[in-house]
Amino acid sequence: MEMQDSLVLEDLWKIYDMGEVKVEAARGVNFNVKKGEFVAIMGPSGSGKSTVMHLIGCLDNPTRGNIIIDNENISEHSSNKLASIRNSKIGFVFQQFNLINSLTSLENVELPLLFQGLSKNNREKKAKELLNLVSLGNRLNNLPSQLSGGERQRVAIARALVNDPEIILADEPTGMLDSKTGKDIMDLLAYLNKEKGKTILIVTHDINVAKYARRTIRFKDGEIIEK
Amino acid sequence: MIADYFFLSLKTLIHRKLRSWLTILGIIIGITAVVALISLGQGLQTAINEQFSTIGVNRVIVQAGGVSFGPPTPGVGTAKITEHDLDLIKRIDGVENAAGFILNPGKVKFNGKVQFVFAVGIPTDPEERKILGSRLDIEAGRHFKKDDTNKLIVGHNLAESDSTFGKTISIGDKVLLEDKSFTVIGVRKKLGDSANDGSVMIPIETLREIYGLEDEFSIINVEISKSKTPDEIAEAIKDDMRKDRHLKEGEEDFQVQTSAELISSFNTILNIVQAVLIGIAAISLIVGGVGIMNTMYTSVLERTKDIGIMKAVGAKDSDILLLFLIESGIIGFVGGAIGVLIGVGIGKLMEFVAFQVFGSPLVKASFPPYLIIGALVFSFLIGTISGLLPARQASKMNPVDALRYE
Repeated sequence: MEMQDSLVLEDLWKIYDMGEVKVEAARGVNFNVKKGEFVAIMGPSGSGKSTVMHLIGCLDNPTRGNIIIDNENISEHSSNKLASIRNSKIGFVFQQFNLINSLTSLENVELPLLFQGLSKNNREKKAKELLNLVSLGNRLNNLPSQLSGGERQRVAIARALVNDPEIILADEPTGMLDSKTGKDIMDLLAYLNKEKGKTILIVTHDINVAKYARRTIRFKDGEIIEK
Repeated sequence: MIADYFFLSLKTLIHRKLRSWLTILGIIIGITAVVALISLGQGLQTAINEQFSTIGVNRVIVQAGGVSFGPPTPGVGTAKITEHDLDLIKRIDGVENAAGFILNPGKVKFNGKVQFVFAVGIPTDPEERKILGSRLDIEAGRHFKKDDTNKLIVGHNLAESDSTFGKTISIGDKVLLEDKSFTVIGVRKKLGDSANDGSVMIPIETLREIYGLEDEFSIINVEISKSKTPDEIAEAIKDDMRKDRHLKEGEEDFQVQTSAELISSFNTILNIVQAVLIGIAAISLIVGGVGIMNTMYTSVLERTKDIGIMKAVGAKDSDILLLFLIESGIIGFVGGAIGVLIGVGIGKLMEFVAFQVFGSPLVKASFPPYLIIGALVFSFLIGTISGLLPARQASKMNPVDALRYE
């Protein structure tokens, strides 16, 4: 049975206009990711992999080309529509965790649901469920500053999962962690992919991290050199 | 939804306690000043209206002198108001009754000390006194009877405090007025102004005799019948007195005012003074608003990354705008609420101090509901308006750039 595409990129261009020079960060990128795939994106700094990641994450508009997420072409969406795609279809995991420091673990995980307009009770129930899944059921009311790096990244993963997204985008998720903790985080992502069927796209420098993926896409100078 | 945003904003404010409080302080100062000044101004206005009401409402007041702006100034000008004028006024259609009194500076000697105070000559007939209003009432002893001559009633302050003569004056004491001996028979009701409360009252005939004033009055009060308005009667009195004195319109050597006119001329002055004071206080509110704006801009800058995170997890531009507006609104409102409390406190304190130091019940703080509600609404508006530009800047941030911000 043919698996459905979770994500399709068609001739995707991103050109930054820096006044005198134009930087072509993505130059005609094409690839697709099937539902339930675990894909690594690799490449040196400045190869355009982060740019593509941001475009897929609806954090930025492409200059040209199409991005189709879950059969919806989002390349010309308004900022409001992009926000709602981010809210419902994308889960981010960042290198620097990106938790809000004034909020507890529970509140950080609840945040995407708050912007969906869910009631406090429903938010709490779902957020607790996911914090339990990442083994942080005992750290619900701690602030990020009271958590270790690995714990923070697990909170971030719980947050990425809380809105039950189509795709999880992880940008160097182990970059700030020691190798042991990094391995724990990758095991968690692998578990989510295998057991929960989540589609995962991970950007990394680290070949050991890329090994978790079943497929690796390599970038150089804004173009794909291997998929 | 809004409640959730409210708690989210509140959390970030609590997270940076010191800065939040300093910003709130700016609004507290402004609102405190406005509330205290308006409450005292309002109180003063009420008190002055009460003072005038002791003359009697719906009265017409006639006195010598050309038209002047402000309160009655007896003794100005050479023309006099006399018994002849009183008779003339009493005959006017619509005039129920009329009576006059004299106000004259007098030399009073008591306890070996000589002081100059106002001597008020008033009718001994209680019916005539009634026309002159409740300001002539007494609080102790008895009032004048017909045929009283060398009897005297002292003002409230002379009986209560020894600051004028080194000794309080009691009923039964002997007092010298222009070297003539008077027996104190009563104490006049407290009015709240030092001129009246420090004055002495004697029968009008006795006063005329002492000062050789023949049949003149300082002021005539006119009580009008219900069928006429004070303005109509004032015009009629002016007409008749002009004819009697062979004067043209505009050349009057007397003035006729209704009590309403007197009150409104006082209130006009008071309103101007109040407007100036509130204007000054309002400047501090604007400064407070600029403070909020400054804090919010700093806050937007500091939380650029948080804004990026919130956008990444699905916050719309309007969500971010709302979050920041609520935050600055809270700053304004909390500042306003505390400012109102302190303003009320200061108003009450001023009232207390004025009463203790000057013994004046004129300074009275009054807090009408519109003042309290208005101050709260206004402070909230200042907060949100000051937060508008910073919040817009926050909401328009590109999520990628915001996330990259360190």
